[in-house]
Amino acid sequence: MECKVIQGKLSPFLEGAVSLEEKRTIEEHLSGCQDCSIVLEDLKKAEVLVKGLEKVDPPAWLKQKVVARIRAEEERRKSLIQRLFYPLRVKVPIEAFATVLVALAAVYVFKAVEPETKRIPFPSSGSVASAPAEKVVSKREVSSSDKDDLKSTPSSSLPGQTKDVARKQASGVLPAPPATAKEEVSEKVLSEEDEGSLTQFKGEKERRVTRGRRMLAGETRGDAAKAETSKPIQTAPPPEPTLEKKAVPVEGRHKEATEAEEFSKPKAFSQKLPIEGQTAKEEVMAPKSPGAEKRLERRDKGVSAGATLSAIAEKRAKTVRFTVQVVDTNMAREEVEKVLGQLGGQRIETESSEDIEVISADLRSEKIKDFHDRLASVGEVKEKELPSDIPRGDIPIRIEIIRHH
Amino acid sequence: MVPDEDYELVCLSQKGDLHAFGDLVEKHQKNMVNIAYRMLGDYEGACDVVQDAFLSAYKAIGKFRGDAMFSTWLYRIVVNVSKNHMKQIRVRLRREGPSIDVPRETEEGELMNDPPDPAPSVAEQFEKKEVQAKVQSCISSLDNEYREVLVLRDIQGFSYGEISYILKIPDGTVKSRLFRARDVLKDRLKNVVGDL
Repeated sequence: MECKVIQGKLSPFLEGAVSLEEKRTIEEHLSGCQDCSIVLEDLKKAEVLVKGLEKVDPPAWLKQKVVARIRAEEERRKSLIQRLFYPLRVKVPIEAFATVLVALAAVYVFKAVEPETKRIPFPSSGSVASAPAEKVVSKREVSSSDKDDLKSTPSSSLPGQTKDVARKQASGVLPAPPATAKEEVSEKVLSEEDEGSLTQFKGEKERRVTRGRRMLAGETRGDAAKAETSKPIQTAPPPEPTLEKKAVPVEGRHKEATEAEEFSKPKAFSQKLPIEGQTAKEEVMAPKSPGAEKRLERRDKGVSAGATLSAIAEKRAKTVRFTVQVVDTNMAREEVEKVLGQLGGQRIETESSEDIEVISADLRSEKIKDFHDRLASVGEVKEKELPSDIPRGDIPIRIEIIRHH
Repeated sequence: MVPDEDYELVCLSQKGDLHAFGDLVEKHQKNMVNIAYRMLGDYEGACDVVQDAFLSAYKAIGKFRGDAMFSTWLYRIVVNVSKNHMKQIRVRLRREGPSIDVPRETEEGELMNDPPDPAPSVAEQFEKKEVQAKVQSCISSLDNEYREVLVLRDIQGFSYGEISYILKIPDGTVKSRLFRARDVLKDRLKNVVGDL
């Protein structure tokens, strides 16, 4: 066997970890090989040196330090647990209170964000539904002449505002509010007027409500089907000979109120209504959509829908408003109507009072800038810049022409 | 299986008896320090390693199932902690370079770089110390896998079975590594010490 091989086996040989045959071979080789014998001796000496290494003593403080460190770890763990869970009589109420607070905050945030999430872009069908949202005006906006006019109507036992609204609605100038807006309006009106005296106008108002609903193409929940087949408001003949076709005083709120009230009581439909009213009656009496049925139920109960409020607010938010100060409101109105016509404005409606003319229309979004520029030639426009977030399509616009004194 | 003489202390320690565990520390700390010292080649580092090893042992004592002697289980921990410590030193040296070894005093005022030496004669002490330092340096120069089997077998005197449990390697591997470790050490000692 070669020396290299033998030398590689010398460690196990020393350990006694070789076979008998190998041991004999190695011993025979060693007896004749000095180099391998020296290697064997070196191995033995190295082993002696290693095994001769003295054992060191641990430091005297080692045990104490180990125990102290363990104690410190235990204390740290205990205090953490105590801080988290003890004492229960204090922790549990505090944690329960914190949970309640978090839940309330979550509900509050959800409620605050809810109107924003409901603000979805509605189809720009060019309906006049924006007008009703704008027409929820305060009583103060009703002119004195309007009030007198209302009061003089013999058949009315209502305060002037309601009659005025009904008149306007019948004339077709003022479109009916969307069905969803009616509940809110009805609540407002009923809180202000004698509920009993409203019943006298049920017949007329119901018909006007129905016509208004027809006009709201695609914007009222239950009336989408009806809206598609509705006649344009301008072409509807007035049910009462005393009503004017256009430029009637504004009273949006009460008009909506009467419509809502009528809508909630379809059974009170009067025989005095003309043929159109009878057609409307069928529609009113038999709402075709589940949404309309629901609205009937709710109005019967006199409960206003949060959805109505949000729909009105939604439409109001999307209408582009202009305020123009002029010397002659009539002339300015004619000028604005002319401009709207030239720019392709749809559903142009005007509401007049002594010192203010309100024109509402639908205008293509790309024409609004042009309209705004031309409005400057009519009078002093309050809005110097257009809103930045005008969506595309037909945009409801509202122009208030105010007499400058 | 040989009954474990630490059985009672271990049971008490598992129940949270720190005093019992302290007794275990006192019983095994010397072996622990020597294993760590021979693995690291540094007494100060070895004391830190042993503290950490005992702390780990206390935390894990609930998991000890008696599949080996408690002492063997303890030595396994100190070998692992020593290996981790050496790894950290290697990383630090690679980043920072070798640092000057400054002697540090213990709480009792002893210098911690070198272990306490009980030999009486100064000259003999010095010579012996010098030889032992050279031997230790040769041991420290070995690869980890050679060093650990050499320390456990030739210095600590553990059996192949114990070494197999501590290092989690088969008996045969323990032996082959040991033989190879001795060959390499012999060559290095001859280079450093001269004629053996």
